Amino acid sequence: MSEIDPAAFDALIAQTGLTLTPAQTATLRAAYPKLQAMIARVTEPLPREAEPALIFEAEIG
Amino acid sequence: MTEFLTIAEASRLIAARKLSPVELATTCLERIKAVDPVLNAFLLVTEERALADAKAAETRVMSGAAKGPLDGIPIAHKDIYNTAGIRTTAHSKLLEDNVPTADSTVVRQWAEAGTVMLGKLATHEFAMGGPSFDLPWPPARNPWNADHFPAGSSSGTGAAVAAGMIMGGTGSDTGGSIRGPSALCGIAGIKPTYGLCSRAGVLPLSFTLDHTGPMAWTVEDCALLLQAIAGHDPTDPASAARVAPDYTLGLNAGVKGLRIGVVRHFFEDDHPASPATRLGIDHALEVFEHLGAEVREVKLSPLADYNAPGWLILLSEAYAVHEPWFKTRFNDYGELFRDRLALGGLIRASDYVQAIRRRRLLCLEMQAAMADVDILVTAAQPAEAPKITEVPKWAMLDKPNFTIPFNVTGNPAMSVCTGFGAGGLPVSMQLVARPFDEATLFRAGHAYETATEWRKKRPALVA
Amino acid sequence: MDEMTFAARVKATGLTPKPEDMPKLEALVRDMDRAAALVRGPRSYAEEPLSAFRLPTPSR
Repeated sequence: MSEIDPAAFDALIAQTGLTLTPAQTATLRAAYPKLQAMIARVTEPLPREAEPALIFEAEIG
Repeated sequence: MTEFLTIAEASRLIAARKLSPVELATTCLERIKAVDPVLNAFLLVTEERALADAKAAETRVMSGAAKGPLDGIPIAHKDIYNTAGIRTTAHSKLLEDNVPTADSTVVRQWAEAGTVMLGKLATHEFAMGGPSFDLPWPPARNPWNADHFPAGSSSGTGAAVAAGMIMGGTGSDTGGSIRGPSALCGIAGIKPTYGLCSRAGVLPLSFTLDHTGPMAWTVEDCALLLQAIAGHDPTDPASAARVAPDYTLGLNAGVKGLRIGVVRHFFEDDHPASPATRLGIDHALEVFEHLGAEVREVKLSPLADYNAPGWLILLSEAYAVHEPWFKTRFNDYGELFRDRLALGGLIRASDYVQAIRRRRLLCLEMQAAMADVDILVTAAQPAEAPKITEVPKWAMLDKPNFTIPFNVTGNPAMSVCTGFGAGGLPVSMQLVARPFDEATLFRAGHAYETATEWRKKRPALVA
Repeated sequence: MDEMTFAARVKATGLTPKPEDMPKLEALVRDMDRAAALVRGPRSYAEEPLSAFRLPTPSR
């Protein structure tokens, strides 16, 4: 897992719209690689026909 | 105050008019006064309500109008279950003054079954942030050693049941929040099949992973408690249109002929568990074999493959729930919840969708793995409870947990105590059944508990 | 959204659009952000999503 570019990480944080202290940002920056490892596990190629586990039902029961 | 009864025992005595529900409630209230200042299991004790409920139960019993096995049984609710007119805080400053106007479905169902409500129980903040020391109330502690962690998020329920302050209580389980505290507090706790019990009126953490369910001293007691809340609720959009069977019918059928699959790589390779945990599981498998079950090994995808979609879905969905408050009251949350959940804001929509696609494949894998076994056995926790001050902030990201796989797949799963570790705290195993086959789970758990001695030992604090 | 922030945001996705396409892309993303802000409107935390998790059953 390659480390995220600092500017790209800052962009991700900015997108949340949260106002974080430098310490809070540093905490998230340190933990982010662990999250990236999880993301890498779910973004390994899937068969194109692999449907999500959540089902939209037009008729609400 | 030295006698501890199970729900099944108390129920029989109440029905025979040999035990007064008022005396039983009073005993529990006295125990709360004696030990809760150390354990912090309760956020609110509803003493007057409890005595009123107990008197009403007693009147019904004495007039031959008892409601069933839960009539007069002392319980309490995790403080994310809405209780009409009674503060429901999620253990958070954000809901410090929140008083719901209606009961959640499960709270209403247990009340209708005649239970005696003793109060509201500690939780990790919004069922995820804990153990925290920067909230309006302290975290619950482990009755087996108050310096230790009771696990969470249903921490108050685990501590209160183990210490005999209540006979049963509600938990909720999104990644292991019923099974974790049940395991570390040495009690029984079941996360039922997704959709079996209503989530209506329970503060959400992650809509598609949240489960409600009971925690109690024994498997049999869990069956009695689940009976009152299992079934369709039209006010919960994920509720399954199913009628629950009578869980007591096959409870004593034993495990002869049952096919048990052990998922050994979860706790030996993927996240190596402590020697006491492994020994407890191996001993349990010997007990099952001795009782006539057939044990074989089952292989699934690595534990981390189940944890990754589980945590990505949990954090994404929970972030969506909390985003409005994050924008306006970020610093009113405790540090643990705030930091853990802020990560959810960094997950992209496509990653969430990949996680729910992966989830379907894992459901299918689990279904195939269980095609020719009735029960899976694996670990519930890696070891005995750590010290409460030594729980890492990123524990859930550092090592894969044993419980979230069954939130991902929705299978019913239960923690059962398998003895004690080197530190004198409980260890446990996790039993898993096919969807909606809670009856087999209870059958296996009850057979193990009655064949072993672990249910006879209570924490020294209250013994 | 300033140019630097947008460039970093694109980088975070791992996408590599042509430099000449960036202004058009940024305008599109601005529209998308406006739409996203609308769906973030205040709602009860108890409001459930419309897609529900359904267990695969052997008959399905």
